[in-house]
Amino acid sequence: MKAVSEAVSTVIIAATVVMVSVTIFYFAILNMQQSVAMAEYGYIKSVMYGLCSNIPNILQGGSYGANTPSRLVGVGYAGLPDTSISIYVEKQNEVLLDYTDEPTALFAIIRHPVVTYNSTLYGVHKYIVNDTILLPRLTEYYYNGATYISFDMARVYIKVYKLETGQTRYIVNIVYLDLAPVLVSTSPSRIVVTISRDIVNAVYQDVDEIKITYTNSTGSYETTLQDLIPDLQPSDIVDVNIVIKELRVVIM
Amino acid sequence: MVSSAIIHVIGTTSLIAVLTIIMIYVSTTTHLTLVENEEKNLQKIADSITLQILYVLQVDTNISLRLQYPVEAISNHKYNIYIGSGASLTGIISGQLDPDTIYVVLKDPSNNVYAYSLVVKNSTSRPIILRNNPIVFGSTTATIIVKTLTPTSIILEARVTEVIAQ
Repeated sequence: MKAVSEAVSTVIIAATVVMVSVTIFYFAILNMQQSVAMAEYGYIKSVMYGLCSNIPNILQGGSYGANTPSRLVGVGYAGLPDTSISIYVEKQNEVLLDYTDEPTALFAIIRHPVVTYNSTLYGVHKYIVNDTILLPRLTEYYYNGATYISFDMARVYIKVYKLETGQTRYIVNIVYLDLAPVLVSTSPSRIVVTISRDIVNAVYQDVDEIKITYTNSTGSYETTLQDLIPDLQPSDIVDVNIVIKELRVVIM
Repeated sequence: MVSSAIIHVIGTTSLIAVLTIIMIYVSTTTHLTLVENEEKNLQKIADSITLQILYVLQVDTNISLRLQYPVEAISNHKYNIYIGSGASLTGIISGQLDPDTIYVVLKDPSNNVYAYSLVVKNSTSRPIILRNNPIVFGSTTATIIVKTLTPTSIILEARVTEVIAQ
């Protein structure tokens, strides 16, 4: 009787030790994965923040490059669903410019619930902004077990200057950046962002109508010349300086 | 020979003590590394903002410039930017500042980390007058610095145009 009891207690003790070890092992593995996920997520977030604050420099001919984490974070791109932006300029019923773009967004995704709420990290929810630093927007959200960071440029920069030289003359500066990502590697670990070409770079004198149309899933919004310059008189001259550039994002 | 209970107590206590010391050491070192890194970053940003303000001051016309600075000094740590005379900044940082000199101070209140950079010593013949002294704004804003020249003084003010990050 004594021998049997000893064997049983040995088994119980051994089983308990193994069980506790396995539990600690799993806990450690999960904890380490979560740490790696947090570190990589923080890293890609900093890279994206850097990209946002460097947009004015890139617009003036600079570039931005950064290494991106690649173990748990993926970087890629996709079109913004149901979104389009169009810029339309007219002079005496003649269409000078009719540009429409379906904006693309840059995504970073991590299949861990690092962040489980939606928030805007950088930028504003407007489609017309008055500073080039407000052109980019960075949002983070949680969807289907993964955390996403989305970077898009679906905004138009417009600034109106007024000149009084006997006759009132308005100069409207319009800048739009078309985000054009290109993926050149199957396991990307670096991004380089620069301006690749001018799509439109023109000055139109004495125009009669400017229309900016922004469409997304909630509806269509339009801004006309009358909205930009509320006290516009028929005798006033409006010159438009339009710059549309392609923002090349090479993911390599 | 069977050891007495007191030996066990001493052994266990010293083991726990060694473990505790190691844990405290590691957490302190980690925190210090973080704080030193943030301090260095803040110093670089302060120097950059100083350069931008110097540029604004050196141009001989009325001028406005949107200041450029990153949103975060280190991950998840935003900071405040103060532009003011040494006299107005004494409560914000603990160092000794010259009361008549204009400084840029960057401070992250959550870690109590700060860095400062000297902009210019104010003159008495044509002083730089700050609309608010000190000018304060957060790193999550788009801020324009405006310089207006008058015959007797140079007026500097900052306008926050938009909150760009949370």
